[in-house]
Amino acid sequence: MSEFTRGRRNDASLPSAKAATTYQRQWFARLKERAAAGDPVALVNADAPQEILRALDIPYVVNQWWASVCAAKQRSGPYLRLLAERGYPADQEQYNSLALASTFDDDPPWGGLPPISFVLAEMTGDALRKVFEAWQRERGATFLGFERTVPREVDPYWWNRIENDWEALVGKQRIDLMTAELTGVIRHLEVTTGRTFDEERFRTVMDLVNEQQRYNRATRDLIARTSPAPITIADSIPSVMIPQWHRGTEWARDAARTFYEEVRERADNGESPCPDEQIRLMWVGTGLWFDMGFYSWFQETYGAMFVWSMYLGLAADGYIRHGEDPLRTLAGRFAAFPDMINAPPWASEWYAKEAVHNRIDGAVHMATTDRRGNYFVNRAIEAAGVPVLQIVGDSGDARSWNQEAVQAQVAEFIEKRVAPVAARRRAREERRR
Amino acid sequence: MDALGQLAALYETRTGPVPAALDGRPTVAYVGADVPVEVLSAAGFAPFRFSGRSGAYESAARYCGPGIDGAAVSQLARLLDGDAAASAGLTLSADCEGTVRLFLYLREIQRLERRPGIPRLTFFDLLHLPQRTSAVYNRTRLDAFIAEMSDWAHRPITDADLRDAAAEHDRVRALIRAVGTELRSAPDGPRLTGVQALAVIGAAFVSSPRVWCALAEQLLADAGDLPRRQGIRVFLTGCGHDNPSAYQLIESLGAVIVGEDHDWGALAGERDIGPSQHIRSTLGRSRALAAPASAGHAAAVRAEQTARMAAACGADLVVAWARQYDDAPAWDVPVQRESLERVGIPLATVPAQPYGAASHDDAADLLMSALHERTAEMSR
Repeated sequence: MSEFTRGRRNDASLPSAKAATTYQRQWFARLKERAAAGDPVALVNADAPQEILRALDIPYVVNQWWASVCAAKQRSGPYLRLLAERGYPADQEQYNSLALASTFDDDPPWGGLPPISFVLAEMTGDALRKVFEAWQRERGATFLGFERTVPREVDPYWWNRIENDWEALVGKQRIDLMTAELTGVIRHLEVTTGRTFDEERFRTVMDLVNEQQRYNRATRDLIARTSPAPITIADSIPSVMIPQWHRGTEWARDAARTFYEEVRERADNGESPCPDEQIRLMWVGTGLWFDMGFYSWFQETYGAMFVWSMYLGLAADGYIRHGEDPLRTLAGRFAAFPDMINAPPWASEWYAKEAVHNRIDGAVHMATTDRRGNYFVNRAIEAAGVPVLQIVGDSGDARSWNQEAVQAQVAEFIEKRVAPVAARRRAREERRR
Repeated sequence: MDALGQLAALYETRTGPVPAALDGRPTVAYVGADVPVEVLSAAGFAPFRFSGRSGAYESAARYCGPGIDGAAVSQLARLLDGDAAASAGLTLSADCEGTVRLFLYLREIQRLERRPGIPRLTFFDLLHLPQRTSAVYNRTRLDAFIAEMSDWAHRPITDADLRDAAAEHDRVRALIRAVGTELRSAPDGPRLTGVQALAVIGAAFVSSPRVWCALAEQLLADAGDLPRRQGIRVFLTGCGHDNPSAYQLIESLGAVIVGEDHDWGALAGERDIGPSQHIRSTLGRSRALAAPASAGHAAAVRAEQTARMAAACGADLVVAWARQYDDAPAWDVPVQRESLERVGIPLATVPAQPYGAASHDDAADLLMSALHERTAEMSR
């Protein structure tokens, strides 16, 4: 990363984003107090079923959130070197291994993670299981893994059915497996922590998650239909994701409602960070944590707003589940979760659907590797009439990020490919009014 | 041509088009070591292991960006080029992310722009956590896989058929082990180079058990005619090798590879089925847990196996060879180093090599240094 790009931050404009950030610091301080008092703390991967920990009142830290803190504090490069010094690879799974690396730092951000007793993660890819086993070896944490399963056939248009018909859509065997895994993990946690899984609390947690995501869906839909967009992704990511890591709590549900109300108010008043919105952009990939100011340059220069990221989109479409048996319903939420953003055709068709739904004019797709099925994602979005630019970058690794070069690349993409699409879209919408 | 020459020639057929039949049976191509070849044999098919081919990437380039194992990219290119068109079908497994990606991409290509040269395909989703939950899932998947192969073959597959097929493939595995103990591990020097051994074992995946076993038995019977090889004895761990380029490099530096723990080599002889009352459960368990490769298995389990197999071969040095975008092996290295220290064998690492490259210059430098160091230690 060049000096030019180092450490640009986005100043969140929404009160809910500021409130979420403040809450997160307070929550983390309380979590460390609980850890100091002897409470076991878990580390969970983003797509692990955190709801069971909530029902057991076991505090947890989300691996990717902590990685984003480390990256935002410009620690990714030094942390990857710490991993390499211990013989671990520093050129793969950077985003997923930063948290482990942070435990090797004498002066980590926010005073560092508390001691971790359990790690819960699903195991997509060849290295993830090994990363979390390293937690066991290096830090004595018990790794409780969930298998990644791959179906023989799938219905590409999952979002139409998944809320209620998840059993048939995902497949009985996959749901059976994850339900059995969840049962085993709960029993292990009960035995080792002396806590009892509170079934009623769990049902409440599941209801709260659905409520929270319904607010997120309303927010997504509001942004999708409003021009100029009331907020950008730099605003929405903290307002969505910090509550997402607290899902199943009243605070998280209320935070999602507050976020919706703020966006609603801005939409009603015609407020926007870019009142002269000309172009609506989609960011495909994880957030650019170490350079969150990147996004705003394009709205100042081109009236081009990044209005969509997967964080709000997935919150809107990916979590809501209804079912009689809450544990089985939780399995219905997570047994196929990685497919939604990383495997064709689920991921590719969903990104394309979201591009259309959000009236997107151009998509910027950040990827270092092809784990997402990039060709199929790009093809599907382009087939929906939206040009795509793929750029190289990794949320957990600022070392290779050349902001000047990428900015120029995106600028050229906007000028040459996106602007004409946006002009046609605006004309089309004007005719309909 | 002697048995060794015939086996080497058979091995070379892996990079050509899959034949329509072997030994009178229609072929089914398979990708991934988790595919239970016993089921294919029990259905009356001849399993033919589908490899990558160095340099064959072009047809797959548009579908695969960086980050996909080059072996899988090459396999996709070969499939798109029609190299498996004559087979009766293609089965893939979840043995590593490369194979999973290959399946996902093939499935999507066939959905979006069906290619006639790609045979019907299926996927066997075998999981690897050593827990009952995974075993139960695996059994449902195995039953479904057996039912699908039965449909492909238009004949029922009984448990007796599976037992017979398991015995046939156990015979292959026993001979792979015999090649190791009799021709590679002897203290006074192996009679096969690593390159030769890789071809002998690899030929088993692209020929019928009957033909391969006869040739392997002949090779063992004639072993006394083969010269003993000298050099630093290397055990190869890390990624799998469906081609000999790494072997050729290591042996060109004066070493000899006496064993390996990847499934195109000696590891393929390590998962016997044996007589079983519950053949389906035994088949699933064997594929899921026996002979762990790097992907899908715990580093500690993998490291214990590496140390055990390397010590049994009398290895002087273990080389951990990692391939670019084959992510698992590099994470095993710190644990393997500790396990090998306990049996007194040093470990040299060769990180992030491209698949099937004609030259591995950085690897050569690393290996030369490691071999010199080990030679000096041994002479002290």
